[in-house]
Amino acid sequence: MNQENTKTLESPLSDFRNEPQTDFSLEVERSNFSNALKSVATHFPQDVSIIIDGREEMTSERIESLDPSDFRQIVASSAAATSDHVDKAVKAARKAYPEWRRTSPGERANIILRAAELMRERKHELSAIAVREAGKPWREADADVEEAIDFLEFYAREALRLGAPRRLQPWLLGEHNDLVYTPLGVVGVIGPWNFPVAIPTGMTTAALAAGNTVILKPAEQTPLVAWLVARIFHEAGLPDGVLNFLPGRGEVCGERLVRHPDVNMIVFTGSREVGLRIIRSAAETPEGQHFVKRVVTEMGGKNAIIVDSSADLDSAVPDILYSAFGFSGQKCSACSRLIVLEDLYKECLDRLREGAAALKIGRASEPSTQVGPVIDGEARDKILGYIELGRKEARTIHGGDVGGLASEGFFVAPHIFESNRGDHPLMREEIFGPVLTVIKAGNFSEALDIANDTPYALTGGVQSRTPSNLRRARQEFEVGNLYLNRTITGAIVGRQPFGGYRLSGIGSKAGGPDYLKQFMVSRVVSENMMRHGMASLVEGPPDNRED
Amino acid sequence: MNTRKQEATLERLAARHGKRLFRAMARHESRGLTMDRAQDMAMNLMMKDEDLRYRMLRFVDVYPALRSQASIAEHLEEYLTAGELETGVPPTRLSDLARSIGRHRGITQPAIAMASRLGIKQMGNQFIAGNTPGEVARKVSKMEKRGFLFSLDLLGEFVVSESQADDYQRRYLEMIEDFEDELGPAPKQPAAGPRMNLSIKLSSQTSKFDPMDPEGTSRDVRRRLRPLFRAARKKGAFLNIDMEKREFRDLTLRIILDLLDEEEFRGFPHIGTVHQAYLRDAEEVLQGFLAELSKRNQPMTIRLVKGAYWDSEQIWARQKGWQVPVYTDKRETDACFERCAEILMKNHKVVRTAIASHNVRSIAWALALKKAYDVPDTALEFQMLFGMAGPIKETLRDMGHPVRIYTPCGELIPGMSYLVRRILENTSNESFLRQRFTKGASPMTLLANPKLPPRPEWAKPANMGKGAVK
Repeated sequence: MNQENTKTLESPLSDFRNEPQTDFSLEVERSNFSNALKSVATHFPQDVSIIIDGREEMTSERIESLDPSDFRQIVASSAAATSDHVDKAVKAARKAYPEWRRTSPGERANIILRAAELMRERKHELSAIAVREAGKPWREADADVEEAIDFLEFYAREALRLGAPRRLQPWLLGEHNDLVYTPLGVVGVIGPWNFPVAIPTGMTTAALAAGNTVILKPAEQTPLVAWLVARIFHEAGLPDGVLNFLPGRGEVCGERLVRHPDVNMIVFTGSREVGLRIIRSAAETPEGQHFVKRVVTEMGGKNAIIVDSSADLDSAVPDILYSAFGFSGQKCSACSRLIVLEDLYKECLDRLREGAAALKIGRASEPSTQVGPVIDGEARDKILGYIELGRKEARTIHGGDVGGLASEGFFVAPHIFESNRGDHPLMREEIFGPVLTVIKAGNFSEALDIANDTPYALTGGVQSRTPSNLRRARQEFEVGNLYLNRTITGAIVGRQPFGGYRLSGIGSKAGGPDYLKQFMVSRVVSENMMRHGMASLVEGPPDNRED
Repeated sequence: MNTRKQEATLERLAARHGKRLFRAMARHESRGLTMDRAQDMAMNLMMKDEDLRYRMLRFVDVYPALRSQASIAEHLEEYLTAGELETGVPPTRLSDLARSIGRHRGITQPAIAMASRLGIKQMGNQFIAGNTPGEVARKVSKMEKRGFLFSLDLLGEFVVSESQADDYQRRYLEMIEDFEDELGPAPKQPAAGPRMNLSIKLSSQTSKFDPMDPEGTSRDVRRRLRPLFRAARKKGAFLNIDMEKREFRDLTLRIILDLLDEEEFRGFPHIGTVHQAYLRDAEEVLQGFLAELSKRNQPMTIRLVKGAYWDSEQIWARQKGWQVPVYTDKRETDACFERCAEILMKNHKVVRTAIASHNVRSIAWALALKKAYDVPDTALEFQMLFGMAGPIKETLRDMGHPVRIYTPCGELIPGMSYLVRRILENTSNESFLRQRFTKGASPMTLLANPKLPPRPEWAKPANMGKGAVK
């Protein structure tokens, strides 16, 4: 590794700044983005290969990823890794591990920061691919790449902070007690399609920064953009075998990765069903596996916003519409339940209905689009099933129509239903689409009870100008991320560390101070420094590391 | 060519105009701030205590949403006492008072509710001309009789739906078609274009005003603007396109030009827009826009303002990681205002200028420019806000200049953000009015050239006394 380039960051987190959002009010940014969209499309369908030990490999079986806005367009033709590929990749990762673990945190951070730089240079290109491969409207795709850059910058600094040994009770004489964090070994990263740049980048970066080697399996729907991320890491100087890239089917290569006796940790973002299965199989310790797999999962939510009678509808209505229908509701943080207090109920619903009716549905690549497609046919059909159920069993407040778009892409119009049953499937099950269910509450306590009556605890919001209600929500609203008087999606690295509890996931918040530690074990070394009554009487420097 | 000598002449002229304005204003100032005493006291309290100001403004903001006496009293109490959790600031000395309100609920709640209602209604009346066209017409007629011109501004909800946009359009249309008839016969006024003058916010004319989609936004907005401009042409009314946040500026200018490029509206005579001097690129953008106007030979009135979204622009920029688009030092804004005023007045054959500021130095500078560049009387007017800066309005009117009063009307609930902006402005540390009337700053200090570095503390003249009202 190139020593001179190693950054020495004095106070690792103090100089962290989030990547600026693209200012689309500037002509130059708009035209750069349009050009990126045109230029990436010239390579479709792009071949996506497996990368094991630095070598690219294709398979005869292919997985095609389609543009959700235009399903006739094949975006990528991806290799489909088999369980043999998984075994080879784990072997390569195992082989690369000792050297990577010995690499200093500073050098590791340096490679990661270089990856951040490369990603910044190719920002619009990555966003443009996310527009076409994941069906993300411009601003959503842009935010996805910014978050990825943030993860790189943030975890690189975290690696430095946690990488230095910490002398415990330094005033003690005659004995040195040092706490160090060391990596776990080989980490399997299983990524989702909804943040196809940010989340795989974040999970991978945390594992690498901590000194682990990685096997990254991207979502079947979005292999291309993940492949570019893997290549950026290599271009930044990551040694062969440290990051292996395995596109493929979950039930084939994901399954093998989870059960492989040489994989120490699985980090996963996706559905609750798959997440719980991973947790179950990770508990098994087959012959020869001398550890219990560590698992970190992020598994979704059934997030609610409460609107009390002092809310300002001028800001609440746009906040709710964006939280529920931004990226077609396909964020684990999205709002799918709305609880409105009686006093404001009618007015709030009227404004929501009219606001929802004005949302522009269209192809993700059109700058005017506010609601794009959903990811694939399976997702569309599942969401349409819930809409059907809503039409039958609830009152339809708003139900749009996608018109001719239905024959071009996987489009679902935003729907708002009213339910008077907290236990209705619309109020309990994660739909992961543009469907919002509204329920009336008599007072704020009742609203909080309804909000908390769910197995999930991810995000939640309150729209209120009553200080005592906001204070109660802080204490009683059971969610990992509570948002007061704003949208409930769009967490920013370092600013809103993100993650839930209950059935929303296990593990600590991404983009926060505890995340990297999950990829490490702590060890303590105590050394007696006394020799025949002789020891230095000089105290060590004070312990000032923030943990 | 702006030589040093010209610069010095302008400075001398501005100083002379400034002193004359201050002398003349003294006659009108005996009445102090044009608000009544109770309100003065409330404003004064807010100016002295930043924490209280923040708490009171938050209460004023929620007030229209409160439906019962108990709820009004409870919110006032909460805003005065609580807060460590969400603001990190300790309760003020007023919290004891508020706690005693809490202890004697039954007796005090109705009284508190009544007092708040009166107080806020009064503040509303101070800055908002009225709700119904009739009410507004009565106030406007009074203003006209006193020799002022007006521009109406319709307050309303933040538009997220097509029906809201339709509703706004309909209200604009009704104003254009009917409002003038509600007024009596026109009194004699200085020549400054049509009597009926309406300010329009383009973000109210579509459910999605999005600078990322300029084509679509321009198309939607123009669809609603066309009937307004047709009605204005028929009635001989003037339409001013207001400016909002920085992100909307380029698109707003583009929509104006797009509309004027339509065959039907080419050369439309009674149109104006706004230019915000607090933006760092204000001069460059102004030059560019003037060039577009000259190219088209298109008449236009440009209202030069400092800008009303100063706090928000800084907050948005920080949150998005952008360079702060506004000058953060008030003096730099004042200096940019003067440079923009000069650009405008030099181009008086292309545009009419409307100087919209309460700052005497900015006004004096404009008067100096008028003389230096031989700007005809018809090419310059002054604009001020309804309910503010009485003395300077009256002074300029007495001197024979057209003075137009930007007159907001509408309900209190949707008008809240406007009201809060005005109270913020009137109680802000930087505000000219506060410097003048509460802090008693001397005319010399207030007339200092903002384009020069500030004088060091030791070189400042002793406070000359005049001006401190209280």
